[in-house]
Amino acid sequence: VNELDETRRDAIIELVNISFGRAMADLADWLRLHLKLSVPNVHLIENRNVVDLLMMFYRGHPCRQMLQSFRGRHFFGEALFVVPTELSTQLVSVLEDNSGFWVEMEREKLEYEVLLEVGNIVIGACLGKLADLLKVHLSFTPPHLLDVQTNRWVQRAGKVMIVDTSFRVANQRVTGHLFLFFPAPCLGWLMKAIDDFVGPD
Amino acid sequence: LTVTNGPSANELPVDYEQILDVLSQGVIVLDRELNVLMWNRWMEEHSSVSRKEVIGKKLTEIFPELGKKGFLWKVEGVFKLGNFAFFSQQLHGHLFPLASTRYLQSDFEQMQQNAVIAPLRDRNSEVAYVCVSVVDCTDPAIFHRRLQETAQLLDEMSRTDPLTHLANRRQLFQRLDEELSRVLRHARPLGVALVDVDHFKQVNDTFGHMCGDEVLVAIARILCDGVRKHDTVGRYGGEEFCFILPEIGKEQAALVLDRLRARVAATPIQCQQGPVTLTLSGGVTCTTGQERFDADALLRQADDALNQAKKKGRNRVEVYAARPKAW
Repeated sequence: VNELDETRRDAIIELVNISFGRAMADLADWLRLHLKLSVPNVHLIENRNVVDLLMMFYRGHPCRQMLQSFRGRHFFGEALFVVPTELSTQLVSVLEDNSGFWVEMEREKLEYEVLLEVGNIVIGACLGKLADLLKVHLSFTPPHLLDVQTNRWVQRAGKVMIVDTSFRVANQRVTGHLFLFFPAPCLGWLMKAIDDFVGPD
Repeated sequence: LTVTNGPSANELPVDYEQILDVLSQGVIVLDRELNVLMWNRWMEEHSSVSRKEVIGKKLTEIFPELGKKGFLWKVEGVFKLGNFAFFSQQLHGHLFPLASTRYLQSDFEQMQQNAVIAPLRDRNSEVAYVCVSVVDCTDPAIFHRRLQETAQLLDEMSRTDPLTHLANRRQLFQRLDEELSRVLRHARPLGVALVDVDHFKQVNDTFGHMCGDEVLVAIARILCDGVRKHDTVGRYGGEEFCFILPEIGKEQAALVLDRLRARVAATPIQCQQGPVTLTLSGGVTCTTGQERFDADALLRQADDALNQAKKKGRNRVEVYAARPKAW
């Protein structure tokens, strides 16, 4: 029932493309931050393989990561926002120069604050639009910083669906990632919602 | 104040205000101009600013420091995007300058807070107000600080020799590996040396182990004071010390070691049993990154040179060579 066939995979990609596209317009308007998103990849993998999958993206690239949980009645999971360290440093000036952001804080903390802030806005906007399309209400936990390498994350058995979207900030070469994790208890509802989105044809 | 998506006050047998007043967290409602429309009892109690004093006034006039925390920017974002915005205690410590209520544990003068700014929508689903909720997280912050202190202590203990407070073998090998990879990257020299306290066993046998420990601590201090900040001195074994000397070759490393040898020989160490004067023997080697050395190979070379120094009568420093020469 929860299998990820081509029809469902295409539908998820379309849903994410539509909702993230709308979110990017809001972000550009508020943060003056122009993110270019790739077409998302969808993976359905065993929980225990999550860290290995993430490490494939990070290998050799120092990154900063923030994690935030989202929760609706049937639609829930976690979002991981990963930004290469060099981009994370540049985001501070992008925000300060373009959107009037200013916090009196030591530099290192400020970089983390900006990462949490941008991550929170990107995740909130992207998932908010996705929730609108799926007609669900979502709430979010406060975002927090994470170290995937040292984090004892997914130990339990079962599968997780991961939607991976990479992004680039205009004029920057480095690539960040937004990973959405939908754990097994959410998949039944999600697959049905996707089937409804696709329709009987 | 009109918000949607909930039953009207008439449907509940109690006022919403009463519910907000019994919450153990701060609740504030602001309009677009940041005028305060709601200020619950928790905020009154912790800020000592009464509802009467604050309602209808701009929040930033009462708490001007909010401007430095990016509060206005976040509120504007919530109005524009309709998202939730957060203030993390880990980064901000506190949002409002509220006194801590912990008198016995005085880690923080200000109450540590996590805060959330949430959108409130009017009948047209437009974000017309924001709700700021403030949670006291002083206890978790104290716990987190204790945990960090303990982790730091354990980390230090795992890297330090408990007697001399120099780097232990584990730290020495880690530093040596780091320096060796730097040598390979940049082709810069790296000096490595081993020294041994001559006839140390006699100190232990004659004056006892307590005196032996005092001697090791005193020598460790002389060695540590005689090198540059970025050099590493560690306790390699019982009375053996190891030096990692970045950016210097054999001759310079030998000069450093010989200066330290002379200083130790000229410094009587005051023990409870009286002054003790000791000498050191040292062996020096170096790599310039042209040959691939691992830590063990370098230490073996330094040890060979040290053995040569001992064979040649002690209280001297030898440089490693295929056929070691006296320095």
